[in-house]
Amino acid sequence: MKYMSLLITIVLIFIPRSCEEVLDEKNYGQIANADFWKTEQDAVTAIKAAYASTRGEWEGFAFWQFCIEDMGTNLATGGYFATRDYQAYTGWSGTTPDFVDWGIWPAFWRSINYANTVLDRVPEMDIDPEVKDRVTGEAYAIRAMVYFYLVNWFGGMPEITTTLETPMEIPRQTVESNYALIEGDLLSAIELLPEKSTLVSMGELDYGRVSKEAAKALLTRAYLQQGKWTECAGMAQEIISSGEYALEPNYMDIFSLANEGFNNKEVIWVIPFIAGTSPVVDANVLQVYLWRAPEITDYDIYYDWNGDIRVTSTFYNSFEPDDLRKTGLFSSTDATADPIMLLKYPADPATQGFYSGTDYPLIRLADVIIMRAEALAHQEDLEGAVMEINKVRARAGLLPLDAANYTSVSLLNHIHNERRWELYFEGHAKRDMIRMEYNNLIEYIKSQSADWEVGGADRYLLLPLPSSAIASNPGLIQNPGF
Amino acid sequence: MKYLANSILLILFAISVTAQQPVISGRIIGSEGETLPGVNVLEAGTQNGTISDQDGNFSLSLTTDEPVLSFSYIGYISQEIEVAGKTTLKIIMTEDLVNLEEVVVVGYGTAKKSDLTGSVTSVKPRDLNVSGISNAAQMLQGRVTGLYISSHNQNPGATPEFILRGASSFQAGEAGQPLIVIDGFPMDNASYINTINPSDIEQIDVLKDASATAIYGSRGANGVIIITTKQGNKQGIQVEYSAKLFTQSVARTIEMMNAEQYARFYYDLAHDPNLQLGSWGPDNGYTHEFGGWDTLPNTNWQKEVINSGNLTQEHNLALSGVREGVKYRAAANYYGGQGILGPANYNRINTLARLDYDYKKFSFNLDLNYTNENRNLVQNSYERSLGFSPSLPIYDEEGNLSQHVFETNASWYYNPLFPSEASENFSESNTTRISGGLEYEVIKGLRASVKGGITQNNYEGFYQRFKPFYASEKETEASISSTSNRQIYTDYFLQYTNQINYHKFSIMAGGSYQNFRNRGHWSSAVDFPYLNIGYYNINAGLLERQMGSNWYEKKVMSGLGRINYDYKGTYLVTINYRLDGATVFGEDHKWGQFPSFGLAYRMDQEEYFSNAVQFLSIFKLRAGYGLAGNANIPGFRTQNLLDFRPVFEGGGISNAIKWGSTYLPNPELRWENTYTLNLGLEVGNPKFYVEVNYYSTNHKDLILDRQVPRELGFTNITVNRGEMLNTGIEVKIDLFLSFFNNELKWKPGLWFSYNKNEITDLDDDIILDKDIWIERTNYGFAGIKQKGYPLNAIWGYDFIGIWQESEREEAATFNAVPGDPKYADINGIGENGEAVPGADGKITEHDRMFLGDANPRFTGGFSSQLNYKNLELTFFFEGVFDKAIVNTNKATFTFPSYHYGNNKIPKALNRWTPSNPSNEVPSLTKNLNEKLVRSDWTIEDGSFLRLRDITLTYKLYFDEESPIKNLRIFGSASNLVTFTRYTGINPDVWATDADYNLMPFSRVFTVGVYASF
Repeated sequence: MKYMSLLITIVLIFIPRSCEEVLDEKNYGQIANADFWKTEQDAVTAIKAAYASTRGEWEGFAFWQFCIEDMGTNLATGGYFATRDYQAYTGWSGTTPDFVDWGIWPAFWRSINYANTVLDRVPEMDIDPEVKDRVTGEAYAIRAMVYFYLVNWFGGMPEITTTLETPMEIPRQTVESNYALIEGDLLSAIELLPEKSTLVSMGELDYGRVSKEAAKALLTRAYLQQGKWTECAGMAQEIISSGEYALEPNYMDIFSLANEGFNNKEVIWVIPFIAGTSPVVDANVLQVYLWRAPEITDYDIYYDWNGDIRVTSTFYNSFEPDDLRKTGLFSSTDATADPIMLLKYPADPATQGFYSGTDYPLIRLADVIIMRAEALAHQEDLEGAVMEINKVRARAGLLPLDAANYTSVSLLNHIHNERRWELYFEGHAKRDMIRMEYNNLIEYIKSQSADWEVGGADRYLLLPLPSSAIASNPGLIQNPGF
Repeated sequence: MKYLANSILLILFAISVTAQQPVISGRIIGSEGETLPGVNVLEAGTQNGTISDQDGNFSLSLTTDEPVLSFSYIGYISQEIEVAGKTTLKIIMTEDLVNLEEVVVVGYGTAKKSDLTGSVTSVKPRDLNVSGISNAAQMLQGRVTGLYISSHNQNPGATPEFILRGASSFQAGEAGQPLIVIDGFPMDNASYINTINPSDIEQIDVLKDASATAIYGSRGANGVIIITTKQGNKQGIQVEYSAKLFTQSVARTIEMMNAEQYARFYYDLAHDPNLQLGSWGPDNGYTHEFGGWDTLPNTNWQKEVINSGNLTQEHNLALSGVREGVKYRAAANYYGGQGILGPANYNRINTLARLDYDYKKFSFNLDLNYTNENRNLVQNSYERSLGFSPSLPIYDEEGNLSQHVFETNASWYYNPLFPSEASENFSESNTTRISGGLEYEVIKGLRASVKGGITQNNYEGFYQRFKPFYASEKETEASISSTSNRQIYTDYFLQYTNQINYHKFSIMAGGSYQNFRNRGHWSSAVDFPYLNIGYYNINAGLLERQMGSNWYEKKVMSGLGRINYDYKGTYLVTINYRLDGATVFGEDHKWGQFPSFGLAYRMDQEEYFSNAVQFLSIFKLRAGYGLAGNANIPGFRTQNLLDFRPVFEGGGISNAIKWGSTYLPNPELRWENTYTLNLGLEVGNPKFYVEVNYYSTNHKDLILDRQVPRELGFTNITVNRGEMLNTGIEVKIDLFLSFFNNELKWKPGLWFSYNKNEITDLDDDIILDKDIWIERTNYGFAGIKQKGYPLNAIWGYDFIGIWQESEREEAATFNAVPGDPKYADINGIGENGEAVPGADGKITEHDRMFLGDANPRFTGGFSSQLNYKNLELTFFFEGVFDKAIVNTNKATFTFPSYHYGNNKIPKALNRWTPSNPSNEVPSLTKNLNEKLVRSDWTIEDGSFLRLRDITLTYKLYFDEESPIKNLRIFGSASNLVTFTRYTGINPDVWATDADYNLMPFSRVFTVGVYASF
C-alpha cells in the first residue's frame, strides 16, 4: 500500500506538473506580441497597420469621405439601386447609416489603436533613432488625422492615447479638447518627421507614408476649421515657401494614374491605392458607383452595378465658362436629371471589376493655398488672399481676381466657390459648407430630408454614432436628434 | 444445474406418462427474440415446476384443473399465464424496470446501476434496428430526463444541439454542449456523434450531475454522454441485417400572398400618399399595372424548392460472436439520401471491427472505425422561396430562371432555384478512429491498464458557381478547402479492489493526455476560361485568387482518481478527483482541480425496511456534490497574437501587422466552475419505477464575452464574471401493466423536468445580447443578461395597437402618426439613467418588459409501448413549455421596407389605412420601426407539444432450427402532430427565428425490416 500511494501521487501530481511548458498556447503562423517589437522592420510593419486601417476594403477613405462630404451637399447626388448603402445618410432619413457601423467607426479606431500601440512600444525599442523618430512621428500624424475626421463627422470624441489602459467606459470629450489633442499630436509629428525631399533622397518608395509637410498641412486644416486664422495662414505659408511642393501645371495630372508617387509635385498627404492585385490589397471603390454617361466608355471595364453617383447640374453650371477644372466633369446629352459624370478619377485599366488604384489626395498644395487665402480674407488681408487665389486660378486658365472688387464677405463667398471648383469630390465639401455656408447647407438638408421637421435639420450636420458603439461603451452619448 | 433440470424433466415426464395428465410445452424468449435459458416455470399453487433449457424450451405436465403457469427470471418481469387448454405456449418476457444488475458506464470504469451515487441515465438502444432513428442523438431524444435536443435542423447528417439541465454557459454553441465520449475516448466536439452508427451502439450513458461528471474535470460541466459500442457476446456466429427507407415531407409552411394579392398589395402601397420608403412610389419600381392581376402566373415557390420525392435509405450488416475467448464484431452501414430542400444529399458509409480477447492475466481490445461522409451542400433557398415574386413563371421565355419582377431587386435577390441551376457544392469527410487497450492483473485485486487511440478527420470541400447569382459577381467562381483534425488520446490507470468483511472498496488512479491538432488550407478564384474547370483546376481562375492556411493545437493533461466504498451494499460512497491543465487558459491559471463526492443509502437492503415494505425491490436515497469545469472556450483569448495583412504604401505591397483576433486579451482567463448539488430518490419494483432528482447547479466564474468599447480597437473580451444558478426537479415514472392474460402489455413512461435559471451575480454588469439583424441593419438587442433574470432573458416593448386617426395629437407627442405602432409607456428615466416606474411621455429602452426566457422552463415527455401478440406500438410525446422566441421573420415578411418588392404574408394586406383602422398591422408605409422588432408583436411564446415519434412493429419469432431467428417489419412517423400557438414555422428554434435559420419543418416517415440469422 505504501508503494501504491506513492505511485498514485506520482501519477496524479508529478507527471502533469512537469509538463507545464507543454501547455503553452501556440498558433503557428502568428507571432506572439512578446516576440515582436525587436527590429526596425518590426517598427515599420507596425506603423503600416495604422495606415492600413484607414482604408481597408470598403472602409474609411476607400469610399466614404465622398459620401459624407461631397454627396452630403448640393454638389452631388448619389446611390445605386434603390437600396443604396449611403442613402440613409445622403437621403437624410434618420436611420443610422450602416456603413458607419462597419466601414468607418471600427476601422478608424483600429487605426488609432495601432498608432497608440506604436507610441507605447516603439520608443522602448533598441533601434536606429532615425527610424524610431520617423515611425513615432507617423503614429502621431495618423492619430491626429483620424481624430480630425472623427471630430468633424461625429463631434467630440473619447480620447484614447495609450493601449496600456483599457477602460470599459470612455466618455466623450469636447470638440475643443479633441482639437487640442490633434494640434499636440501634429506638433510632435512635425518635430519628428522628415521632409519630402529627405524621404526622396533616402530612396524611400512608400510615398503614402507621411512627411513633415503632411503633418503641417493637416495642422493648417485643423487651424482653419477652428477659425484660428493667424495660425492657419502662418502654417500654410510654411508649406508654400518650403519649396517641397508645387502646383501641377495641368489640373487633371494631379489625379492621373501615371502621375502617382513622389513625382506628383502637388499632393502632400496621399492615400495610395492599387488595383489589379489578387486578392485586392488597398483599393478605391468610387468609380464603380459613378453614373456613366453613354458617351464615355472608359468606365465600362467596371462592373455594371447601376451606379448612380452624379454631379449636380447646378454645380456644373456654377463654373466660369473657361474653367479648365471642368474637364474633370462630363455633361452628357442623356435625358436623365443631372446627366453630369465625374471624370476626375480616371478609369483604372487594372481594375478587377470594382477596385481602382487611383490614389486619394487627402491634402494637396492647392488646398493649402486656398486655405491660406481664406484665413487671410478673414484677417481682412484681401490683397494677400487674392494673390493666393490667383495662383490656382492661373492654372485653371482663368483671369486673376482684383482685390479692389471685393469686400471680405464677398471674397470669402468667392473663395468658397473656388474651393468647390478646385476641390470637388475630394472629400471636403460638407466641412467647407458648415464653415462657410452654414445656412445654405441647412436649407439643402431641409430640401432633401423627409423627416427633418421631427428632429431638426441641424442634427444631420453630424453622423449618428453607431448603435454598436453606444452599446459597447456606456460613456458614449448619442448625438442630439438621433 | 443442467443435470438437475434434466432430472426434473425426466421425473416430470415419468409422472406425466403414468398419470396421463396434460402436458404443456413452449418456448421462452426475451422481447428481442433472444432465447432465455433457466427461466423458472411453476404451476401456480403447487410445487410443480421446471426451468427452460439452453434454447429456452420447457415442458411441464400440469396437475391442476385450471392451470396457471408462472414464469420468473432475474431481471425480467414475472408473468402468470392461464393455460386454458393450450398445449404449446410462446412466452415473451419483458425486462424488469429496476434491473439491479444493470451495468452503467460512469467514465473511466463501470458500476452497477444499483451502486450509483450520482445522477446517470442509461439508454440501451436494443430496439434501434426497428425504429425511425438514424443517429445516436435521436436515440436520446425524450429518453433522458432533463436533456433537451433541438429538432430544428432535420437534415440528414446535421449535428444536434443539446441542452442538459438548463443553460450552462454564457458561451453560445459548442461551449454549452455536453462532452461526447466514444468507447472511453473524449471527442473534440459534439459533431462526432454523427460518425457512430446507431445500430452499433450497445448503450449510452448520460452523466448529469457534477458528482458524476467531475471525473471529466474541466470538460464535465455540461454533462457527459458516454457511448459504448457493441461487442460480440454469443457463442458461434450471429448475422444481423436491417434496412430502412425514410422520406421527409413538409409539416408546416408559411402562407405567402398569391400573385394577385401580391400585385394588389404593391399597387396599393405605391399609390399610398403616405409612402415614405426611399424613392419607392407609383413611378419607381412598380411593375404590375392596374388590373389583369388574376391572369398572372401564380408560382408557389415553396413547393418548387421542396424536394418532395426525397428518399433516404439505410442498410446495416453485422457479424458477431465469441470464439476461443475472442469476442469479435464487424459491421458495415450505409446511410444515404436526400434532404428536403433539393438537391442536397448526405451519404455515409461506416465500418467497424472490434476485438476483445482475454488471455490469462491479460485482456486486450482493439477498435477500428472508419466513416466516410459525403454531402451535397447545394440547397435551393427556402428563404427566397418565401420572398420571391409569386407573379412569375419558373422560367422566362428564353428558358432561363425568371428574374425578380422588381427590376432593382433582380440584381441581388436571386431566384430560389438558382443554387441548383448554377452551383455545385459538396464535401467529403473521412474519419478514422483507432483505439486499443491493454489490462493486466498485477496481483489479485490490482489491475493496471493503458489505453490509447487516435481519431483523424479529413474534410474536403468543393464549391463552384457557373453563373453569377448577382450582377456584382464574375461569371464563374470556385473554391476548395481541406482541413485535417487529429486527436490523440492516451490514459493509464491502476485499480485496486478488495473486500474485507462487509467493507468493499475500490481505488482507481491514473492520468490522461489529449492533444488536438487542427490544420487546414483553402483557396478560391473567379473567372474561369470554361465552365466546369472550377475546383478541378483552381489555378485556371484568373482573378481574385486567394488562399489561406491555419494550424492550431491545443492540449489537455489530467490526473484523476476515484475511491468507491460500499458497506454491506447499503451505504455507498464515491469520491472523485481530477486535476486538469489546458492550453487555452491564461498563464497563471493553467491548472484546475475538480473534486466531487456522492453518497447513497440503499434502504431496501436494511432488514427492517425490506420486512416492512416487501413489494419494493429498490428504495435508494442519493446525495452528491461536486465541482466540474467548462473549458470549452475558443483559443487565443488570453494573449494577443500578431497576424499579417498586405498593405500598399506606394512602393509596392508590403506587410502590416494585424491583431490576430478582435478580442482584447485577458491573461486572467480561467475555467468556469460548476458546483452541483444533486439529491435523488429511486423507488421501484419490477413493474414500477420512480426516480426523482433535485439539483441545484451553481455556475461560478462564468466565461463570458463582454463587449469592450469599440474605440479601443477591439470588439470583445472574454472574462470570468458572475454567478448563475440552475435549480430543477426531474421526475421519471415508468410503469408496466398487463391485460388479458398477458396478451396485452403496456409500458407507459412519463417524465418531466422543471428548470429555473437565474443569474445571481454579474458584478452589477448588464450585458446586451441577441442583437437582431435584418439584412445589414441592426435593430438592437433583444436579450439582456442581468442579475435576477434568466441567462437568455428576452425583453421587449409592450405593443398595444396602432395609433388611430382620432389619436393623431397624442401620437404626435410620441413622434408618431396614425398608422404607426403604439407601445405602452411604462417607465421613465431617473437622474442616473435608471428606470423609474410611471409614464414619462417617451418610449425609451426602459419601457421594455421581461418577455420570457429563450430556454424552456418545463420539458416533459410521455412515452408508451404497447405489445399485443406480434404487434408493438410505441409513441412518444414531447413537450417544451415556457420559452420565448423573437420571430424576426414575422417582421421581415410583413414589412415591405425590408426587401421592398418581395412577397409578404397575406396579413400585410390588412395593413392600417385611414379606412382600415387595423390594430394589428401598422401602415407599412414607413421603415420597420426598431421597437416593433423588439416588442411582443414579434416576441412570441414558443411552447409546444409534439408527437415526436410513433412506430408500429410486427415481430416474428422463429424456432431455433430455422435459419432465420428474428424478423421485424415496422413503420414509423416523426413530428406527426404539433400543438403550438407559435405563428412561425417551427417553435423548436432557439431565441431568434430569422431568415438565416429558416428551414422547412418536416415530418419523417420510415419503413424498415430487421432480420437476424
